[in-house]
Amino acid sequence: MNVAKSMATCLSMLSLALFAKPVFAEGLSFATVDLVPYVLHDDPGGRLGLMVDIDTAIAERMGIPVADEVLPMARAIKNLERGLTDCVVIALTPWSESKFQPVAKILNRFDAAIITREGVPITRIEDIHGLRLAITRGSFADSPISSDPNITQVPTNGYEQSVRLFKAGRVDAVAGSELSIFYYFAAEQISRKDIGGILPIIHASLWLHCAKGQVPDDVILRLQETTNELRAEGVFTRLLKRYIPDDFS
Amino acid sequence: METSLPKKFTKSLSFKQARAAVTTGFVLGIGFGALQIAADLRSEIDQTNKTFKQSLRAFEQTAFQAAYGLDKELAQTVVNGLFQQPAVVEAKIIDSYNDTMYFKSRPHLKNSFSWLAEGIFGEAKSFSTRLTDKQTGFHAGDLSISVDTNVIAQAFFQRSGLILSFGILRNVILAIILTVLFHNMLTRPLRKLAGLIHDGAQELPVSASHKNDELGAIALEYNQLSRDRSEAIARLLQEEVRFRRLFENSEVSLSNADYSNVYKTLNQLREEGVTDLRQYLDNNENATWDIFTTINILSANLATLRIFNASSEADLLEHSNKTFNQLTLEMFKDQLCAIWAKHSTFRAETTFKTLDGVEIVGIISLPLPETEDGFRSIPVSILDITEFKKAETELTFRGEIIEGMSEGVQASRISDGIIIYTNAMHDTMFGYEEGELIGEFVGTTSAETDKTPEQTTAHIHGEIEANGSWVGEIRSIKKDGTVFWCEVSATKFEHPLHGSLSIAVQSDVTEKKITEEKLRQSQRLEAVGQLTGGVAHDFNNLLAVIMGNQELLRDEITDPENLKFIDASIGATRRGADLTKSMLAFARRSQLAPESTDLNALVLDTKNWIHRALPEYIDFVTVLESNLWAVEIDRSAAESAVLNLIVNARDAMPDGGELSIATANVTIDETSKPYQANELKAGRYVTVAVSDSGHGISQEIIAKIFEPFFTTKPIGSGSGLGLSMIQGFMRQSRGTVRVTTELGVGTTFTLYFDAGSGTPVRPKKELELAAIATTTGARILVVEDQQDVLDIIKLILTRAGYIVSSANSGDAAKALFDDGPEFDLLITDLVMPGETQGAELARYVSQICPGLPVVIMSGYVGNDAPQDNQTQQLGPQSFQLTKPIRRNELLLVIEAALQHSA
Repeated sequence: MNVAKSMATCLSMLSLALFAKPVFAEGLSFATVDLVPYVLHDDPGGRLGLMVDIDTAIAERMGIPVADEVLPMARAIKNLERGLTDCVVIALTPWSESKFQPVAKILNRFDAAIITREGVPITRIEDIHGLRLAITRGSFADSPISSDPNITQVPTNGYEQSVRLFKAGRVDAVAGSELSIFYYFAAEQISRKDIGGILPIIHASLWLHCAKGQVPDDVILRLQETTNELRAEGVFTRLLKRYIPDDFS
Repeated sequence: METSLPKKFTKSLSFKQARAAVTTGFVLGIGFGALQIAADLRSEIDQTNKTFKQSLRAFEQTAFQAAYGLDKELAQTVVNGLFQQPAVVEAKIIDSYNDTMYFKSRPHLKNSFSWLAEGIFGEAKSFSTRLTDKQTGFHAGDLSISVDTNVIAQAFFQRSGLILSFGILRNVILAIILTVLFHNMLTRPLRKLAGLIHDGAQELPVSASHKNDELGAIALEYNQLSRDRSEAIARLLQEEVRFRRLFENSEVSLSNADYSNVYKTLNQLREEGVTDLRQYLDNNENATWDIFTTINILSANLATLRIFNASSEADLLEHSNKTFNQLTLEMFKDQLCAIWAKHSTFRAETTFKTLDGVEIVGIISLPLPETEDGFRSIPVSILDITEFKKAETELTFRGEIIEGMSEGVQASRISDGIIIYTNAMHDTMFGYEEGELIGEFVGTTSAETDKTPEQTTAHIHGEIEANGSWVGEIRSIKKDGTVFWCEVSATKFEHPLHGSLSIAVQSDVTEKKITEEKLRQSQRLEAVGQLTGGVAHDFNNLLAVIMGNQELLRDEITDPENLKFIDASIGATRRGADLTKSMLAFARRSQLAPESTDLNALVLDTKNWIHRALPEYIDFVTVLESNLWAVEIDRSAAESAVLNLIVNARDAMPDGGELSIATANVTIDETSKPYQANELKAGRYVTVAVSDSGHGISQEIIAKIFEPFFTTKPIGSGSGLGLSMIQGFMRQSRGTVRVTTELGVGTTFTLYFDAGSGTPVRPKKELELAAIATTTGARILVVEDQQDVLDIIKLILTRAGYIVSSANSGDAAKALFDDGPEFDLLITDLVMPGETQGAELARYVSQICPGLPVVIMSGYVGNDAPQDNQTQQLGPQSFQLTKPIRRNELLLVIEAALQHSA
């Protein structure tokens, strides 16, 4: 069960934080969205997931104990809204800016895109008209691609199923988070030459957000400084490369 | 009886069946439907709870995912899924933040059965479940629904109504179908059969379709019954004729009587309050007779007329009052009481009187019905047992005689030997309780001999079968094991039930056997005695010759050595003479010389010499009664008897002991054992008891001790004549000898001497040999059939100087006397061949030569000797001599006789 694995990860991170130098005596609670590759369970290479790695890197650098709870997206967000969680790494959107306190950028690259099969170049959505598009169930609800009658939508249970359909030639294109799709490309040993093109349809950056009024200002400041330092040092980029193929980096 | 088929359909069997089937189907439909609904209701309530709990469980996982992921769309899907069930009126998912993720509701159903649904199922039911991760226990939210019981109840009521309706409908339709089938298959054919039967058909048709079913069977059975009934009627008519003949020709008096008035009268008495009929009848003597007169005899058979000596049925009916006497009246009272007590039958033995006044005995019997109708015709039978009663009386009389017999009477089956009758004396004789032996094997009373009781029984029964009777003696055994002798006289009797019987009359002859045994013993001893006497007689003749020759020879011998030889020879001859004397004593033919004897003195004399006969280790004791009565006996013989007993006593005590001789005066009367044993007459006796403390005598031996030549002593130690001689002597002396003995204690021989009146008798005068002076020249005729004896006597007498003539027989001697020669003395043998014996010769001589002395010789001399009576009748000039005669004794007697005649 994913929840159980998340709890185990959380505990391991909490243990790590206990041995670090304490900056925020009470420590911080992080919520991590339970999506691949942001959180990995039972990874053969021992990887814990990109978000977990980022949270860990920030906590280590700050020297504070961190409790990281792996949750579904909605629950992570609602926890942050209700003050049950201190911080979450999510995409920066106007909605997030209004509901939470953006602290610092983690990565610029957090786009949603359409990736076509080899031989199907794409520069615009119309390029996949008449083709089959794998879309993870529930995503792109308000996107035009969901309502475009010229695209044959193939709903899937997740990116893994979408990528496998893509590799098997059952679909002509796959839509979703680039990072997630690339992660599965690596798992399915799909390289750059195996695809036709990539069409970003939503541009977003990944930010550290904290609950409003929940975390003391000095801690916010320190979080901001530490995150910026780590981004500047390319720590997050290095961490990202652990999860996506080189030719997609 | 007239019958008709039902005209209305409603009266028909099929309609009744249909009505019953429909009613039953309706009731059963309702009943079973209600039962099923009740069972369904319980199941429905349980199932409702289970159903909605299962629904929640089915949606629980999805709801958890919705709540965990705060997926409202999924939550909506779950709620909509639950709403697929019409009974669910509210459903919602609340997340762990207590926010309602999705809620849906619809209005409750309202109808006229709501009150019933709410009463049965409750107003509403709510079910909820916590949405929790099973592994971590994470609570993501709650899923809850609300159920409208009206919806459930409506479905249930609809289903129940259908069940009930279909149940009733099914049963009613089934009943109708069955009724139609029943009518076609059964009622209609039955009506047809009933019609035919009603019309008197002898044979009912059996259609092919009903050939093998119940209707066919009924028709066939009816046909069979019809045939049987026809045959039965025919037989009944025949039986009626036969019974009429039987009735008329029966030897038993049979009559048909109407007792209905009796029944009515008794009922009337009961209604009048009579509770004890017998008391009523006893108190009202005429009532019994009055009731009897109400009986109406309908018919009577010939035997009835014969028994009562009536000339006709009318004669009997007219004078039926004459058949009653007092006993008959009492019997009728009993009969009335039996009717009163509602007995089923009445049977009694009583006496009647014929119309001409002869009393007869009969057994009357009649059934007693339960209803008045039954009393209208009652068969009354009277069995005339007058002759039987007479025979019974005769049998009783004879039985009493048999029972009273002093002999035992026993009847047993020859086929298997089982005893079927014993009289009282038989049972007493054998020591059994009365009748105890009945049923037992007849050999039970037979003692084991060389044959088993079974063999004895088989032998006797075989004899009876073959010869018709058997007489003999059986060694029998009593219940206590006592063995005795039974004299049996058995005859064959053919018994109608038991077959061949042995009727045995038995007498206990044990005493008779003992007496006979004694008699036989006595006769045997008598025979032995006679034989012994005869032998002794002949032996005495021989000894007489030997003795005479030896004595003559001794006169010729002067050499001392030869004299010793001849003396030894003479001594042996004398011992031989003693032996013959003993034999004669046993044979009670001794020449006794009774004299008055004091037995105390005899015993005391014994003491003078007894030390020579007894060893030192034997003590000798005498116990003598003073004033002992004198007895008249041959003292010498008595001494010899006592000596014999002393010697026997000594030999009985080889290891020492005490020998005693006791004398006593005794009086024998009827109570005394010797008297009862028929050994002594009542009177006075003197006893001499010789006792030893020796080893005693066994019972086997004691029966033989008085037999001659019986001895237990080693060969050469005893002649076996001692005790027989004593017995012979004692009996010859009107006494007896008795013995008592006990093994290991000793033996006592008691001599009983007849004391008589105690009058002393003349002492025996001994002839003195020294005084002999022969009358030389006296003429003596010697008559002796034994030539050797004759020769020696002639020689002795010739040498003594007598002139001797001789004859070989009495007849020759008689002829000599007839020729006329004169003799001074006649010596004759007593027993001789020819017509003229010694005694007769002596009498003849006394007639023709009165005063001529006669000397009679005999080897038999004694009271029991042949012709004893004749010798006793001889005159005083006769003298007697016992062979063998010693010379001196002969000469002394001759001289005495000659002197007596002179």
